[in-house]
Amino acid sequence: MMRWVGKRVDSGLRAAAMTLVVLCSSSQAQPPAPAAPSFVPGEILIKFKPGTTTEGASSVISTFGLQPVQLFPELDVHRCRLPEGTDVEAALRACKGDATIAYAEPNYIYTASRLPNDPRFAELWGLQNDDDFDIDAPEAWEAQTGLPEVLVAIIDTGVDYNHEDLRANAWRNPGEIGNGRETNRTDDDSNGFVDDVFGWDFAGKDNDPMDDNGHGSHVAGTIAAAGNNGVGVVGVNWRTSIMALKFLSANGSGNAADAIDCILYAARNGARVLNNSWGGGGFSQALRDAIEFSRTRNAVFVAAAGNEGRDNDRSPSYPASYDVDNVMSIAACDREGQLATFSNFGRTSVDLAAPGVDILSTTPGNTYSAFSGTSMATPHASGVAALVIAHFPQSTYRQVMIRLAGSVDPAAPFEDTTWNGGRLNAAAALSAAPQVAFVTRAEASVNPEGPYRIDAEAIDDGSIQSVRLSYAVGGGSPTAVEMQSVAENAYRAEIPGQPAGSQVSYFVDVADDAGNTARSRTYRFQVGGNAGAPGCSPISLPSTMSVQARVLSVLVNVLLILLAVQGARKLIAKRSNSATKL
Amino acid sequence: MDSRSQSGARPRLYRAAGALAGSGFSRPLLCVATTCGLLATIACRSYEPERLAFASIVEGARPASGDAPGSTGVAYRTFFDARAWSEFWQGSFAEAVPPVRFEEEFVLCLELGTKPSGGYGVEVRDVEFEARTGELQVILELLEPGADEMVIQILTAPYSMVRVRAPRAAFDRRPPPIRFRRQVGSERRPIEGRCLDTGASEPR
Repeated sequence: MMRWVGKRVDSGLRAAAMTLVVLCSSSQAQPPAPAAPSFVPGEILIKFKPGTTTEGASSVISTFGLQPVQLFPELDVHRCRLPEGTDVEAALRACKGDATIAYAEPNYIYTASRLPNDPRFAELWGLQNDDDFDIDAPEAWEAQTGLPEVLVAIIDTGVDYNHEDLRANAWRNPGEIGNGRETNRTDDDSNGFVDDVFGWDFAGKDNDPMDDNGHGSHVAGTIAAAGNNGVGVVGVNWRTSIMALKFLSANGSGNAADAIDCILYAARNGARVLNNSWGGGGFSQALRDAIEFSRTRNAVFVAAAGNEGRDNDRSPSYPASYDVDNVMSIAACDREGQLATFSNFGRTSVDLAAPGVDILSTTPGNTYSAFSGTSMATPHASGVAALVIAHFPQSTYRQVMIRLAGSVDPAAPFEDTTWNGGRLNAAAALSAAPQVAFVTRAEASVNPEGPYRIDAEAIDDGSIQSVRLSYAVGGGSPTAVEMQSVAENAYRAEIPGQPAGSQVSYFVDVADDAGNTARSRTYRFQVGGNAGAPGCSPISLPSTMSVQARVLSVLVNVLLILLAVQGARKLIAKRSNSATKL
Repeated sequence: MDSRSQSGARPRLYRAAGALAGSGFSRPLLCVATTCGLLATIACRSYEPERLAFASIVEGARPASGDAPGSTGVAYRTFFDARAWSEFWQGSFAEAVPPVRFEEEFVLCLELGTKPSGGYGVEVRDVEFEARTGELQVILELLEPGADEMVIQILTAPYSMVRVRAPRAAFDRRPPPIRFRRQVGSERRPIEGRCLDTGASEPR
């Protein structure tokens, strides 16, 4: 049942004050459950080399102390049980040294995907559903379920860190726990905050960021409700650390100064992902500066695109629209794979879409509720960012963003409503294959003179062999040009100028040194066409002259004109003098 | 109860009659004039809505599910007995059922349509009863996020519940027809109301 959030205003009917939680060492995070083995313990499969007799094989098996369990005669593969207490990997190493053995391997356990035992998992359509308009979470969990070392800041209405499904993943500030430091009224870690165990409440100016609204806890659950614990729901991360930072009050609103405090606290205390399921308030240079600071601390700032159903390219929605390159703006999609009717969008200002309609998650007091909004889409993306950081721990903030944006499931509803043209996909974001994203799209003007500059960003878990731009004019065959590296993960090439009215299409191919490849979506623009026209994506023209060169050119021209005028006047004067003499 | 004062019309005709008495009119004429004045006053009073005392029980915004924001107007329910009120409250809130003296009060629950974010709200400013038509008129103030306010990006449905002091017996039709108006500055603009009570009577 949905719990209403309200303020009681009749003094005689006020609800009991929320019980403050005693911050004590007994509330330590439960140690994460050990990862399930991906092979049958105590068993291996052995294949002997051709020519090995049955007696010879039996002799080897008994020499290693193995117990034969099963023989696959067609394959000549033996399934053997190891002596009690023998490690599978140690046994495999021993087998490799035997000249008669062709190969030995674990008896691997195969599953369709890694599903958690959380009883309400089936209701989490955003993580998995039959229509596959989900983020492919179970497939991602095959590779990564998250790490407690990855710190995600929830900048919101607080978090119910006592919730049965959040408690295990609530961050405990290591500098403020143990030996009674939780409540000793001392800033033990000298970070400027006293007894900040779970985070900080910047709205109430105290150390208890308990959620008094429900929104922050819901967001936290999508990112990191404890997985496979047999309770409630599961987050995108089974394990991670949630830092609770409260600046939105019980009625869900707050101010810029408190938001800035949250961002600075998160960045200074090691958060790699900042989830911002809030918006409004217009442009604030100070807030932008705070986000810029978080960028210098290698944090990804994930923000809700907004719920007004409008185009953020035309009407910015902050903080999602700040032009800092660690900001990811997230639109919401529904379970039919469409852009949610309320969701803001933006061909160049919104990065991708994620599930945001009827999302079930944790709410205060061990309850669970379904909410809708880009607030709900944002933590899906934050959660995947945390998974990526757990899987590729050396990643920079921008590399994390390239992985998220480059791995979207492309879909028509998002082609002209998001920059990268698709829905979030966690499994693809963790892929070892190269990714290409943030390819230059529509801009304000086009010009037949050209050239048209195309930028793209690419990443690979190994090294990138080549990044190529292919373009075609009209229905002609494509021309490929090598894109030059202009910065880490950033590449650039130019398409030469084309006659007005030409239809130009282009895409970017990336190949790594292992032969893996990736291709961007195909983009189109019409030379001299109207910006924003359906089906075409006119791009900006790079200036062929720098500003200084243009100024100099104008000055030289003015000087030449002045000289010409001067010369003409002298000539006229000379002629008139000659005429007078005559 | 944080009651609102009831203001009746001042019997201005009394003062007019006094003035006439001092100006040399004959006593019978004065009596007739006074009686006419009294009747006129009573007639006027019966056409002027009576302001009812009310108190807020709870107000806030519940998260709205689905993806269809933008509906306008207000949906409402009324409760005239403890059992129905108790069932309704317990279906939505974990706290104890707020007491209501149903012998002299009823409960009015309002909910606005879906809004795109937090920061929206609805507050009851006035409740008036027009005896002539048997209608209630509820004056609302609709709250929106300020230009510099940062709010949660979740669909919400703002609501408000009030106790209104008026015995059930005061209404010919139960639940009574209700008209809603939004206070905008000094202006009161009509808002569409949709009754969710079963067997509700619509405003005429």
